Amino acid sequence: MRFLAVCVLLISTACRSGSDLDLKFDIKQETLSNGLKILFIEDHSAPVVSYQTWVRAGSVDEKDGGTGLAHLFEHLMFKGTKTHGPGAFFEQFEAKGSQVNAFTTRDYTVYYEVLPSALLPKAIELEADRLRGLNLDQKLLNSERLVVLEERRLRVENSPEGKLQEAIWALSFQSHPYGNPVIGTTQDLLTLDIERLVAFYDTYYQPSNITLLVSGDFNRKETLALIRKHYGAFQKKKKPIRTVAREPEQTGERRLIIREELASERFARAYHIPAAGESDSYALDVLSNILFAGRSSRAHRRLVEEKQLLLSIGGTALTPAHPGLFVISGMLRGQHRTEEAEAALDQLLGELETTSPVTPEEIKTAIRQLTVQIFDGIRTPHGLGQLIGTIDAILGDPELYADEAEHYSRVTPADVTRVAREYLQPNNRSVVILRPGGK
Amino acid sequence: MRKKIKSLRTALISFVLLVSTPSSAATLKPPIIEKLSNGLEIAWFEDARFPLIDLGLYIDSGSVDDPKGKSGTAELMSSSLFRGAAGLSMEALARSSERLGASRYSSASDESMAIGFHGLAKNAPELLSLLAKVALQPDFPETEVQEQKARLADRWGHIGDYADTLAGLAFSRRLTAETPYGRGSFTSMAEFQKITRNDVSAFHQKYFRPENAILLISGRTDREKLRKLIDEALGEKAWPGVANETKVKRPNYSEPRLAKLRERILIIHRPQLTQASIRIGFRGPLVTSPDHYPTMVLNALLGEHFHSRLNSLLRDKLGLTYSVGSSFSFERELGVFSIASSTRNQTGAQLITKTLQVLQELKSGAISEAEVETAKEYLVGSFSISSASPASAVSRWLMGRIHGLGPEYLNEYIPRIRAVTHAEVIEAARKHLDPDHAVITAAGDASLLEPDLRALKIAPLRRIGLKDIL
Repeated sequence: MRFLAVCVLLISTACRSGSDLDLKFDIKQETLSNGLKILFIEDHSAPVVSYQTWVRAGSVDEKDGGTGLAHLFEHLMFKGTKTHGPGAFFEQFEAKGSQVNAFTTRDYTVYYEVLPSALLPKAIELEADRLRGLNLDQKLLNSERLVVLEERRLRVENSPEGKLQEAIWALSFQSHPYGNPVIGTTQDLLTLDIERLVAFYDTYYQPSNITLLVSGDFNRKETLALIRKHYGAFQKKKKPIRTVAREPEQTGERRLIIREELASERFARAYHIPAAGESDSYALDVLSNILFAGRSSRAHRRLVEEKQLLLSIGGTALTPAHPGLFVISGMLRGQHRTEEAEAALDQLLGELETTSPVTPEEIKTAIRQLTVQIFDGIRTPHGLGQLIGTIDAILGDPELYADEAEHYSRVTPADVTRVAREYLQPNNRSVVILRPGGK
Repeated sequence: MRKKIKSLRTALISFVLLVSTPSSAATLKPPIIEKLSNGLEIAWFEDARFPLIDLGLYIDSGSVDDPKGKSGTAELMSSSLFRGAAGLSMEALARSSERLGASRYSSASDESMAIGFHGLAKNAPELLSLLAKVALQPDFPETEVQEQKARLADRWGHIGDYADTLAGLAFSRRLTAETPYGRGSFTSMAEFQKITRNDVSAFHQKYFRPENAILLISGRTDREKLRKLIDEALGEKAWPGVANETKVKRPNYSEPRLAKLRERILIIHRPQLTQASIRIGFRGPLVTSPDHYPTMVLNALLGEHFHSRLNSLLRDKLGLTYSVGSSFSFERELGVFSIASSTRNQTGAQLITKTLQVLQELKSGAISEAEVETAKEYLVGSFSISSASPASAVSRWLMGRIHGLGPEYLNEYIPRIRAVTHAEVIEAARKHLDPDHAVITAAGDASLLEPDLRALKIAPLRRIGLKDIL
């Protein structure tokens, strides 16, 4: 998991070099008797607090014909409750300049407010309220369905990048629900009914399936008391069990060519890799940086500068809660074909074991790059909260970054070479090409 | 859940790489200003909380200064800076910064250029040295300039892949017609191809001058130590070229308004698109206008926040779009007001009609006091939350500096917004909203967009193809 990797690298780097990289997160945890988990990260440097609600419900929880349900439901969470109208979050927060938003991923859904500290009690009240008394009816569903369909047109149907990403995940995962688009297919979005949404709400939006995260300027004792007041009476229910189809091992390359009106070809290549927390995920993160991060990275130098095949190339190890993908994507120059770029890429990967092994200096560079990234990300209470929330959502314990740091510090050139050989091999990959030439 | 549309000048964005960290109250800390004997101004925005630093050189010239008939010179020059400097190759330069974990940026916009590095504070000396090399000693190797030129031309060809970019470019070109602004990277490929390596070098020598630049330093710094290094790296003898001639004063293009266009609606026909990207707008007041703050309030209630007029109607009530937003943007002599949205082709005419109706309503004075107060509260609150940071201070200070708004500009936002009256907003709407002369562009399937647009007789329209833009 790239996000996690960044955090962990920060810590491991800090451990070695001390001084200006020495950061510690003071995370306090509480769990209410109904199973609701709360994480507190106090930081009084600014009178701002980020209040985040992490729901363990994502697109992996959608059953057949129900793609897009988790995301559409997220939209409906802003449509009002039995006690507060649809404008409540705007009137109480955004109208006062606070940030209010939400997002849905494959593994979880997050709602958040970034507020002046004085508004935290209201945020606790309103977030608790919409976990119980949400307005869900056919009229609201029909209206928001149109908005989500527009979002799909914007992000997927009319976006070369969106189309490529949707296709590569679908081609790579043929059993596991990671193959389904988070935003849903048009067909499923058109047929989702209100009963299904109500059942989803009842199953997943309950205390034992939710973690609250409070980050920034607040008083922990007072905040906990408020959370107890507003969430404490929620009925305890059994945590929903995820039943997710396992993806069988891929035994041969899969290829898909999509014809599009584009100026030049684009491609995505994806390889199955382990989940976050698995031992090889650390070396894969380092490998992706060595190959793709920056103008001096191996792939940029070879394919963009020397061979002038591509306008751009990128790659990253995406390891969510379940086994993920190492995705490489590129935009071809002029009339060049993806096959040329693939041949050059394969040669580059082959050189890792022959003429051009990974060096310790390359590993150090990768760690420094990721260190700057993490500092950029955690300079706000909200950014820090997002990082810790992700670790908790993926690995189940926000403190795990400390244990994991050791793994990163132990990555060697031999490890990087080995994971490249083991995972980036033809039988384990899928390739999608967007090729100019109409539908 | 949603997306907000905001437009900011590219050059300013380059300096706002640092993630905002709200500081107490909504008071922005003014920078410490120093000046070298060669005229280079240094603005220090110190923030010791994180071990990071951003070193950026702002150049007060941009694409509007391109030599006549060679549009794209600023863009090509700016993107060629990293392709060889002080005898170091492109790869050596990249390796020098990336081995430190640092990132780099360079950009050219209408009126400015920016180049800089972002990395760990402890590496400030190395990053400063690199900045001095690429900004002041670029080699502009012939092969590298030609390669960069080919690459930019190739990228230009990809504009058609993105409906929003296409609609935005067409909109910007129509709205800024007969001004030096808004044409995009270059006017035409033919002009761009004429640019030589010598043009690039001459442009650099002319505009990369200490009296035409500001060094912006943001983050954790040892000012005394770094200042000594700046004296060496960016001091008197470090700069190429000779002092600039006096800058050309351009007319104010916001008044008089854009000449009446025969076809106000331009459709860029892209039959493969299932959704049309739409822009609607007109010229607006300059940032120096006395109406500036009332128009900010007007914009907030029209299309900035989630319950603004446009979002409430077009997204919440009608389900026509996922995203709609309005904004004012400012160049020195041109203000632009724009609304951006997207909807399926079949509902494009409806979205345009409804948007123009909202503009007409506001122009007629149908704005409540409560609406104005909500917009003011929103602007004051969001400034406090997301803008009170060292990075925002850099951006706002630079805006004030470029437009000559005086040192008080940095911290006048909240009191000036609070002072805006209901009557002033109504007057700003009457004066500055111009739906009858709005320029409208849409990139989408013309065969689906046109029938309703013609039937509704909103305005005369014209269909063009991708080649007409590129």
